[in-house]
Amino acid sequence: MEIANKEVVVQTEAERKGPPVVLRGQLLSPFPRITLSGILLFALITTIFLWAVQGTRPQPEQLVRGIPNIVNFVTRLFPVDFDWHAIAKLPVEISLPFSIQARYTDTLDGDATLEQVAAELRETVPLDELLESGQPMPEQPQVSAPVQASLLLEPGEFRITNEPSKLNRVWVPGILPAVIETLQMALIGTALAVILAIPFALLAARNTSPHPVIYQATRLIMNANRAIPELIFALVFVAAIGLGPFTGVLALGIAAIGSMGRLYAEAIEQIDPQQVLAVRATGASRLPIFTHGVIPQVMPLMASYSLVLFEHNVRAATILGIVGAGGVGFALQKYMALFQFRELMGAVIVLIVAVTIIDRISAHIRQRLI
Amino acid sequence: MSLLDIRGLRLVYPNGHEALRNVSFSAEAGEIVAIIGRSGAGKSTLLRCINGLEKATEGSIVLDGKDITKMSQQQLAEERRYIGFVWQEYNLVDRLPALTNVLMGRLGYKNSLVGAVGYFDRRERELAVHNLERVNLLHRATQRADKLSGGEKQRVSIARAMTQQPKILLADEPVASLDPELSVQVLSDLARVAREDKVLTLINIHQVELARQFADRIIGLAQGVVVFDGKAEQLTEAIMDRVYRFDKMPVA
Repeated sequence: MEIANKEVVVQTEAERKGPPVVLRGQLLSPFPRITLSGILLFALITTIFLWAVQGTRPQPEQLVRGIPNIVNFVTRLFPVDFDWHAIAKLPVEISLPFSIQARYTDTLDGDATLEQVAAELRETVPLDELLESGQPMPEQPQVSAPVQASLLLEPGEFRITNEPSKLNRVWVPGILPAVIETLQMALIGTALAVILAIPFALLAARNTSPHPVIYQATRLIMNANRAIPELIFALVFVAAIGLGPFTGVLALGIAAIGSMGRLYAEAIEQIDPQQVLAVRATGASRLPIFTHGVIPQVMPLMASYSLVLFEHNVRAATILGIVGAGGVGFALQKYMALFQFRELMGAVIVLIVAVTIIDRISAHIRQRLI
Repeated sequence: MSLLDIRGLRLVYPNGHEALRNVSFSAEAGEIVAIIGRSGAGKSTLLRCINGLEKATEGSIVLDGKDITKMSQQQLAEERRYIGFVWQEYNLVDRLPALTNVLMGRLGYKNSLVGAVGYFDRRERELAVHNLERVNLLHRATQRADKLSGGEKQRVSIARAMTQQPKILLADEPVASLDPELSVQVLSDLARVAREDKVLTLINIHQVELARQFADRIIGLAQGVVVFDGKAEQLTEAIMDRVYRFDKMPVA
């Protein structure tokens, strides 16, 4: 649109003044023309950069003096120690969000009480075997007394085998559970941010905001929110509700309202108003107009922005652990503090692999969306 | 009383431009009326007044006994379900399939929550499918609207308007963006479904030959005034001059 407008302007000026004067020699010159405004602009930019360099107080001589320390640090990173742990099965822990009832009929020692059988089941039988209710046990006890047992796994109960059997043993880096927790935090933090940002975006988009005052107020809130990094929110929430990944999720969710709300609002402002008008002309009321006229148009952009946020949050969630808001950051800080640089390197490598995989998957999805 | 009765309609835009001055006419159910006139004659403004997108400055627009100019925004939103609109630029929601676009014609009849989640029951779907079939586009039902050609888009938009089961169908330059051959096809589809359902149809159009071919009646607008209202045969060269060359300027 802008280019088209400019062309129109050029045409009308050309009509008024005749064709613009172009010097043939200028077109042929291999060097750009030096103008006073060019020199001033160059001087201004150079000044700003010099001023900024001076502000960072560069100390190149200290950098040179520090090189042996850096080399020392790097050598102590090797050999890499992944702190391998044996675990029974992946995923390491499943916290059940629902209850599972498993029934089990078999002949067991007649002396065993139901409670003992249930306790034994909890100890030994893997979860997937329990789920196939009615299957006989692999080992048949000698004494024959029919026993019916049932087991109820309550929500939040863990089934972890701490002493893995040799059959299904898997070796994983010790940092893996923390990395997985980091990814879980990033995912849920992003979802929370998206849910919180949508109403802000609606109020902050010129074409959906109910009133200019609300529009300005929402923009103001979002700008303030954008100025505060995740880490600050994490510190606040750690102080308020304590340590743990949930704190990190809250920090990620709140911290992104400003930036996501603004991006969503801009996506909403870019939609074709005619399509919305056409839905309105069918007699639809506000909510259906929004879901059928606005949402389909902003969906791809919003989904794409949300994936970028997810990628960002994976990295941000790493940092949050340093202040105790869950995830891998806590372990990283511990390794640093205890000078366990080999383990640190192992953890960093695992983290790099995880982040790379996530970024690739996300980039792939984004390509398909646009 | 006629289905549509417009009396002394006047519309002045905030910038002082008088788009319509003293427009009056009535029309019956089942009529197909072409509105001709130059760009800026007030054709679009007239249609936008009838479905309440523009607020008339003076006069009345009585549709089926109810005056549209006296309605609140809430009442207008409810009345719009009975007013089908076909736009020059189709205005389909690009990212949704053709059938969903057609189903949107039912949104005005639905509870807004049910409409918002996109639930349409069997009867509504049958109506939408039937309307797509009537404009020969059933085979494109699952295509996204932006994958359709111009003529196909305009047919989907006709199906959307007919799915509203409207009392009146307003078509604002429905074929201005199409080539001559497609224009004839799309207009004949539009006229056919309108006649089948006996819907009063107002078509803004600048090709006079097409107006003669498809309309029962022609209304000529010039500078916001009705200068002709009659059957297609009565449209003489002298009247054409009044509609198109009132200021003796060559037609651009």
